[in-house]
Amino acid sequence: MSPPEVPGDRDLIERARRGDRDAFGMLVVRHQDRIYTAVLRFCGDEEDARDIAQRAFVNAWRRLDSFKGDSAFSTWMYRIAFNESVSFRREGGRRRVVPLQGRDGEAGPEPADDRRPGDRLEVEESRRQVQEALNQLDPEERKILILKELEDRSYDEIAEILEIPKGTVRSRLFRARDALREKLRVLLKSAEPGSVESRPRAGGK
Amino acid sequence: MSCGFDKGLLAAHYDGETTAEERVEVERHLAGCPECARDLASMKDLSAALKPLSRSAAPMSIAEGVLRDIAPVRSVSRSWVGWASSAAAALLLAVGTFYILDREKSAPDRSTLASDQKAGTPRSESLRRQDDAESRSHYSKESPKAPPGDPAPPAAPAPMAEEPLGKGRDDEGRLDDHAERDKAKEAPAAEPKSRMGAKPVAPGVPVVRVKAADVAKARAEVEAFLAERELKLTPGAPLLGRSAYVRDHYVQLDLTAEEAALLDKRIAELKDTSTARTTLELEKKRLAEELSRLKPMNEAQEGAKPADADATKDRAGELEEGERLRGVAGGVERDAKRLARPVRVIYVFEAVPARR
Repeated sequence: MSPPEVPGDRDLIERARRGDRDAFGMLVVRHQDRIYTAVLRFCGDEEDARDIAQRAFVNAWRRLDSFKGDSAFSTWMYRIAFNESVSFRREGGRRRVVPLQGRDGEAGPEPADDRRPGDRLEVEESRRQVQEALNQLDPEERKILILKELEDRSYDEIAEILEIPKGTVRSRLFRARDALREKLRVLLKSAEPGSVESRPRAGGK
Repeated sequence: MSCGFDKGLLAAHYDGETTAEERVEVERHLAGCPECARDLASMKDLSAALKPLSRSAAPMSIAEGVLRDIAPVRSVSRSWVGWASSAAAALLLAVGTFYILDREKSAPDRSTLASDQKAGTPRSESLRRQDDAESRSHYSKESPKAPPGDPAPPAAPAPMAEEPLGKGRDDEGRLDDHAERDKAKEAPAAEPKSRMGAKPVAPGVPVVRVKAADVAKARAEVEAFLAERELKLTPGAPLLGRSAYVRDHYVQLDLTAEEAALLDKRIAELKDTSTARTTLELEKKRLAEELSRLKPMNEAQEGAKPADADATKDRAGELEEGERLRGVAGGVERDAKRLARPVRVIYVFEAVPARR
């Protein structure tokens, strides 16, 4: 009777559909890191990201019946989370000026960092810069970069999450990368003139 | 783009998303096109630049917030997080623990253990079985079918009552029967009845006191740890009893020594959090003292009624929010493949003021 193994998403979703909140809680715990990260990089603010991620999961709970079993729960969740992010922003959100920077370590343990501790500040600074560049892209470009570069989703999944044809994934990804590179170049240049960015500028128009 | 090559195809190549033919095509083109070779190199650089943004751990308050938001509407307004960090938590903790310990005291545990051994059942295993059956019956109680707004606290037993586990009391007897049936199936038939009412306690069970400014966070850390290891979580903390607040303050885990050490370290790394290892015996003493200090307060609050039973009931309603978290933070069901033999560890959460 008792499930012998760690229940899979499908199993948990089934239970959640029947009203089992604990099962849904397990789904949240299992997926919250990826959803939170995606939202955080999309909106650039930790507190907003927490609110949005929470709202997205609550929304998912309410709409569980509309979840089609033919895609992964994560795919569905990404879509809901991005939609939530966009409407959050549209509603005016709760914009503050404080960007990223791990306000009080709320984000928990950092991803594995094999550098020496002395490099931490440097990492922090480059994180801030890259996020800033990301913030300047248009939302569709940001989404696709997050999904590919940070979440390492396949083109098929990306197409499903963003509801665009697979061919569009290719071209949009290229454009998004190009745009981000350009933003980053400008940012780095203005931050510390004459250093770091010696990379050739691709796609030179 | 001057070279006119399909840059989308180049991106697909970089991401390993081309067909075999496309790949040949791209590679042939790359050999003779410096511009595209440069684009490809830039994509690599960009991926490296984006690395610092990769996955962050979500704050556990997300899961808590979600569970709070999807809970059936109740009249209770205070959240688990709210009360857990309040001074009242300390009182509840004390009362809750006393209840458990008191049951232990009255339980014929030694004879129980002996009978386990006679039956050829390793003690820890039989304990776990019992846990199992009991957690299932816990589960039934918090089943979402409970009418929203129902003022009757579903899970608060009269603390001192000696009664068989998995029996009656809650109104969903159906699932309790199921637990009974399972028990009958799994346990030796000749098992003495006394065992059911007793709380067999292994004297060596380590207790880790977690003192935290943010109890919810400390607890969340435990949950995160378990989730990472894909330990399956089941509700209930049978070694410690069944009252709502006991479950809310205690987490009972089966961990290998290595896991326990790792978890301790992680909790201790949280801000304004410390851990101290103690034993059930010491805990018992400490609480007996604390309780005798708190008891007059209790009685004053509860008037002439039998204090303990009523206190339990009153608070159970308040604590239902916390109960919902049990599904995430209750006991643990082991991954059968794990080799090292896990032992039972009890974590107790205690709110302390933040150092600021």
